[in-house]
Amino acid sequence: MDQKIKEILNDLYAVDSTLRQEEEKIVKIVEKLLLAQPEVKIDENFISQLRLKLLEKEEILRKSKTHSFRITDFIPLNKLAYAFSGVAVALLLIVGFIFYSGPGEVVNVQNIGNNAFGNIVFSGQSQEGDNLQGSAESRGLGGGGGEEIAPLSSTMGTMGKIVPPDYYVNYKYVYRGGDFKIEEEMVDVYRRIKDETLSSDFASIIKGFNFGAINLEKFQNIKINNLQISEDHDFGYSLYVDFQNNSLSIYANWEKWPRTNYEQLSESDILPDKEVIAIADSFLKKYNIDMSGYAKGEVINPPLYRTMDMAQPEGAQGESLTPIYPSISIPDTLVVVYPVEIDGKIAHHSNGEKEGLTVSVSLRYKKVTHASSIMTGSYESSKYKAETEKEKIIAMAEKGGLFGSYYVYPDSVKTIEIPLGMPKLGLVKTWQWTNGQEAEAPLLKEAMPREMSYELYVPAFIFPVLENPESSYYRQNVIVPLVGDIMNGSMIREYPLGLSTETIEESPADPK
Amino acid sequence: MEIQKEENLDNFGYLYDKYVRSIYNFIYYKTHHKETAEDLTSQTFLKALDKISSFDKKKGSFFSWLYQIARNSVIDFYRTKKNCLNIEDVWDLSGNEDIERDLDAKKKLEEVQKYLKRLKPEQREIVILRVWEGMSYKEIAEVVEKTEENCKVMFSRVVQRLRKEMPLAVFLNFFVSLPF
Repeated sequence: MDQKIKEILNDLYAVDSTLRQEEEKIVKIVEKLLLAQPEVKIDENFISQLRLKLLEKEEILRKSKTHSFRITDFIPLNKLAYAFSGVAVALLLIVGFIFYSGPGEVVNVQNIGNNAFGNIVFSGQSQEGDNLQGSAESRGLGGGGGEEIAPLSSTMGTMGKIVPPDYYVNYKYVYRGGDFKIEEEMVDVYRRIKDETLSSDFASIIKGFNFGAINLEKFQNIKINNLQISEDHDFGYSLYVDFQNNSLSIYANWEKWPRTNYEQLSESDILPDKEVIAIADSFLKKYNIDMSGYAKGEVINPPLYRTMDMAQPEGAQGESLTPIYPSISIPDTLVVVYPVEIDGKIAHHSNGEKEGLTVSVSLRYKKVTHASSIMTGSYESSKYKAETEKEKIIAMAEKGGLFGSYYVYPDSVKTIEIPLGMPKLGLVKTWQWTNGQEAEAPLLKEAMPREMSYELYVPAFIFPVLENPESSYYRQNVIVPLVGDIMNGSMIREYPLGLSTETIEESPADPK
Repeated sequence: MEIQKEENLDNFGYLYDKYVRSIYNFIYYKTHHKETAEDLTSQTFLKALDKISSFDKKKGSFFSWLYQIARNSVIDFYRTKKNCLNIEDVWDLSGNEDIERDLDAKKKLEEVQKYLKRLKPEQREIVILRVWEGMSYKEIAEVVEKTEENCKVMFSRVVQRLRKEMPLAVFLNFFVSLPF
């Protein structure tokens, strides 16, 4: 008799000894049951794949062990857990994955070989986000918040068009710094890694839900692109999760903030930079946002704010010219930028502003109203040949670098020199698309599907503007990338376009 | 193996390798469908990983804790699918239900299915765990959250009931089908 059957019988007799008398029948029953046992063939691929999935989740849990984002600030888990138990936990894991790592962890950079990102192209890029406050405030997604996204297409928007001042002044960059060296012939270009599986992972948790009118099971291969949740209390916040770009933004849920009549603030409302940064720091700390991939915060002063200290513009004979901007204009919010830092290099926007996580602080309420560009800090790096001719680099800087030079008016009344100081090595952020731009590098062809955008951080020399002229002009830095098509002189922006002197003289601007 | 609470996360890979096949088998016995079993097995281990910090070895073994999660996953699956609180697994469904089942399993269970279907879910579960999974009564007791003694008595009564309900013809067929 089979050993297994013997054991089962012994257990049965221990309960009811009278069953021994019917042993023959009982053996048959047990044998019948054993014969009826379905043959289970487990798929070894399934076991391997599930193991990998669990290892990834295990890693997330390990990292989020001591630094958990307080999702309970946004979701009443006691209610949500009942209906969406897996969803809430998955959200915690995924949100935690996006911007949490342990304290003091360095940014994760993986080298993937030389020239792996194909041609680095700056010319012909859109000017989306090219504003002096950084791109965080520029567009709303999901009802109120702003999030930086890649320009829609590499061919959208070409040259800049700016309404010219009504008095013609030429600006000329002049390098006044000392001698500098270019140490390396090959430099690292970085690409931020976006985990495309996050949206699928999250979707797999909720795909079984049937909402009555909509049954998610009927949808094929679903992905969750974004998610927005809001706090329902005074001065509450909303959280916007962008799964595609692996980024978060937190913004004021305006329905729960006081309605104001937007009375102009006074000078006494202006906070020192130190206090503005402290409010921003405190907010980021409160929500346990991992700042290991960012440098210290700095306040970006918007140009309107700066007009407070501007002298009235003058003509060539010292006559007072009509100013365009009001003499005093105090912004409602100040923006603190925490620049992205990779391998000790600070990232900049093409306009010279520092690029990274931005936090807007309301001077009216002394609270944070917006925090955006909170992103994953994992990158791939690839070495590219750098421009090493110093004269060429300085020449490009004196042409305005990546952001371009100003149009030279033939009949200008004045030429103002803008001195540039000794450059530092940093990074400039740009975008790369595959749509309409065939990748030459084999790695790129395989790894990057069409119509996808990727953030690149390209080594660049950052030339500081030593002195800003007393006018509406304002730039902090001139950026000269060491890699890419700009060194061929193919990226020159001209300001303004199509406006004549006669037009200006006939109808001068009338400030209100 | 002895698991310290604070070490659960580190040991999870080992525990997965150790129990994944048993859990899959158990779920398969309750669903009779490969894809469903894979889905629910994934859910079971993901849930276990999420809740690993709440596992308390004083309340039972990790093995039985895992089974409870698997069991509840199956129940939730069928109740959600059929929007019915009385459905716990595929056995509770009538033969005409529109639900996926593997043909092999369906064929093999043909003869005993109607008898096993008549059992209460907890009785059927004990049969599955004892006969098909080969679990001890101690382990079964932890999974179904009853005492060992209760489980033994329940199994004994199930066997007696089957003895009465299964007609002689079934046993004759059974003997005919044997190779000797």
